[in-house]
Amino acid sequence: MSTETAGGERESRRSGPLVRVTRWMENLSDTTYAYLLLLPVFVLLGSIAIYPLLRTFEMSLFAQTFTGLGEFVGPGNYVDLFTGNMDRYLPGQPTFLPQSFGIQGLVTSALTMTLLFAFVSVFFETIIGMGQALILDQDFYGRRWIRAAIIIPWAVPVVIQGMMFYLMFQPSIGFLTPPLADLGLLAPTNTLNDPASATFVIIVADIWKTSAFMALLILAGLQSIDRGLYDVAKVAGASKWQQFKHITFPLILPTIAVAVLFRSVAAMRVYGIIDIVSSCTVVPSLSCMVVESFFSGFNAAAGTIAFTTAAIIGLVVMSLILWQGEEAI
Amino acid sequence: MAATQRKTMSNNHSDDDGQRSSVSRRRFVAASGASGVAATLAGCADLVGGGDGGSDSGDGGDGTGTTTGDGGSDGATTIQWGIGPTAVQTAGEEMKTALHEAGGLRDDIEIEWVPSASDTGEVRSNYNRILNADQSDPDIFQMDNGWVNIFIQRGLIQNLSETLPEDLLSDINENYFSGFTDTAREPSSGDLYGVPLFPDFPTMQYRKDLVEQAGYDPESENWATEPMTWEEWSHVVADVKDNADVEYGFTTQWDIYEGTACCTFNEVMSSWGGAYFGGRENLFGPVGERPITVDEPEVHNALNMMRKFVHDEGFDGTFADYAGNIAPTDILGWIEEPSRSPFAEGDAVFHRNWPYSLALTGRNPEETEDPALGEDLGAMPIPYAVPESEAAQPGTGGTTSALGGWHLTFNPNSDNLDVIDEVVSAVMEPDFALELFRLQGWLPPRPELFNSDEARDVAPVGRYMETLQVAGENAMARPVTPVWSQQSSDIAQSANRVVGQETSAEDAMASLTSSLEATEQN
Repeated sequence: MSTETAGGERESRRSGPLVRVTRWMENLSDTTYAYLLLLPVFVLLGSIAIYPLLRTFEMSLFAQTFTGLGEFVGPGNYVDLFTGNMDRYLPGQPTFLPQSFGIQGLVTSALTMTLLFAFVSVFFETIIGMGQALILDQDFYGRRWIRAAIIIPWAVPVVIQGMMFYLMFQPSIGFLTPPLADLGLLAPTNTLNDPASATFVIIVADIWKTSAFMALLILAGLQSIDRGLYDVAKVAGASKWQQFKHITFPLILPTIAVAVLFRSVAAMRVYGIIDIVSSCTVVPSLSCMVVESFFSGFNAAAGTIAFTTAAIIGLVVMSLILWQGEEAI
Repeated sequence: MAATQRKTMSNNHSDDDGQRSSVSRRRFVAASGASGVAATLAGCADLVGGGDGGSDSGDGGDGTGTTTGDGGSDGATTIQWGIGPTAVQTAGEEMKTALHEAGGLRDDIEIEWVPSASDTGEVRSNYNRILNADQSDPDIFQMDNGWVNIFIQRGLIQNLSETLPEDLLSDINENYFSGFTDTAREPSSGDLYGVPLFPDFPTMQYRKDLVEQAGYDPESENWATEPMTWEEWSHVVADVKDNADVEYGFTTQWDIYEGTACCTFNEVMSSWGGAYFGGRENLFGPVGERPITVDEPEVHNALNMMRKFVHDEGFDGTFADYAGNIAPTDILGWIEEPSRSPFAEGDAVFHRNWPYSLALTGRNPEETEDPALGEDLGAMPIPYAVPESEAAQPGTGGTTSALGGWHLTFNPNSDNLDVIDEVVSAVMEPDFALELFRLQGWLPPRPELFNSDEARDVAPVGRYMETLQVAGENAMARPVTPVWSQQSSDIAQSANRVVGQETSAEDAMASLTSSLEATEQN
């Protein structure tokens, strides 16, 4: 609007509210201007994210009873969670900390199950994703189509993905259960109610879906490598392996670190695929425990576990950042 | 990625800064100013236009909105009713008609079904979420008698003793199954929070044609009213299965879900003389003071018998007289509908399920597109292991049917509380109850109607009325207390693992005892 009237008049002569605002804004320092632009985002985040977060935190400070919230107990719920007193609000047999260090103890603990899921799935996703990215980085006929095809699993909604894996591994109709059971990887019957087998299926489902995401991130890193470096390496007589070890890998390492960071955060929050393929009672992830206790009306328990989960994710992220230094972010 | 960023930054640093300080800020103000003005104008235009529309030209544009609004002032009210998805699929439209015709509901009150889930545990979570959020719809919730109590204790549903007219309340007090109605009351005050819609008693359903082909005579042997022992029954199943071309002998539900804890496991355990918390008198508490009696020989036997049925396991000859291998391992993942479908399709000889299954499976196959058995469907009381006189826990033993059934409860935040009385009155109409019995197999909640000739004449479920009456006399409620939902998932998981041969009955029940103790001490 103002541009239409700007015409031939000299800017300094003009006056009015709009001009005053513009002038004030133009004289702001870079930092202040940046904060001004960020203000709407802060307001939005504050009203739709920070408030519920604080409210959840407040709820986690009240005693949990089977009929609702009790009196103010401060950090008592967090103490209860780590001493096992909170376990009775979790669905079925799962506990928060492992009761023993045998298989049975580890698979019924929400904490070890979540860490196990996150570690194993991200590990394989990174390896497979890197392999895919290295292939996609080559020049070959039809590369564009392959790239599109490889991303399809990433676009499949989690409910559909869950149904696919449920149908593939459901013991009476799934075609994959008998051969894998023969190999000893899965329980032949009651497969999706067996903690070890269900975890296996869920990890495979997650790897299938998110390796493509890793591949795309790593591919972006690969393509930013200066091709000239390889020419130099060839002239110097470096083998393919040496090229990978001394050029490719060090240069994509920061990218891999970012990708691993994203995936780890997401993997630590796993819920949907578990609920569809098996159930939260069988494969207890931390988010599962939050959702289940919240749905049962145990808001204080849900809040406590939610904040503890966030803290654990924070710790994992922190250690990843420390591992890769500031370069990663 | 980071490398790329660094590269770009260093290359473009100076240009970027130069552009940013002079041009972009003014453009930004201009753009945001322009869009702000545009938005304001659009908003005003809308307001002004809307206001004008009220007087003349707006009629066309606001057509739909006005109709609904007018309808509201004329009194047409839509009541949202949360209900199971199978019931809506089976006879959703017919039930609406029945409410108006048999129940006498005013025509300007319309019912809209809001299907929930088929797993009762999921329904509970869903309604918990809705009511905790103070959502105003659905107006009516169909709630399992097994968990209405939890909603009452948390103060989430409408207290009907305060709002329903006296004649309806006294009708419920005097003429309904009192044991069933009690599950909709607040235990200490006795206030009513739900209108009993239908009690539910499961039966053992079977293929009469196959059984007769194998040489049995259900009519003269009184299968319909005289319960068999599990031992005798297991041989019948094995025998009939061997003589017929069917895939399964016996289908039931043993998944990790509420239904296993409340019902299938509870029935088998009780028929062996076992119980979760001592005898019948401890079913509803006092929590923390009652004994926990799952780690007892009768409970181990009940679980081992199921294992025998599924895996034909020997257990050192304990079950040598029983036939094994009559139930598929699939039961470990089945809830009601998945276990009913092979039976309805003719692939199973015996099937344990609720009366709705009699209504659906008993339909004449020529009159429905769904698989059905018609007159070939038979029903008998669920078999037992020890008679009541020999039961270890008082009040158990003999044939046992879990007490199921659903109540109608009301959303205290509903905008339609003024017409709730009329819906309740229509629902309580005996003719409507008979229609539900015919359409869905939902048993009448009034004993007088339940035992009447009218009910017996309702096809197809009326054919099985004798069996249902035996089941009703031997019903066992689940131990519903505020801690039951936590206990039930623990119980279901333990029962599932034992029958899945992942652990022994002794170990599983010992660890179940300690986790039940933890939930009891609160």
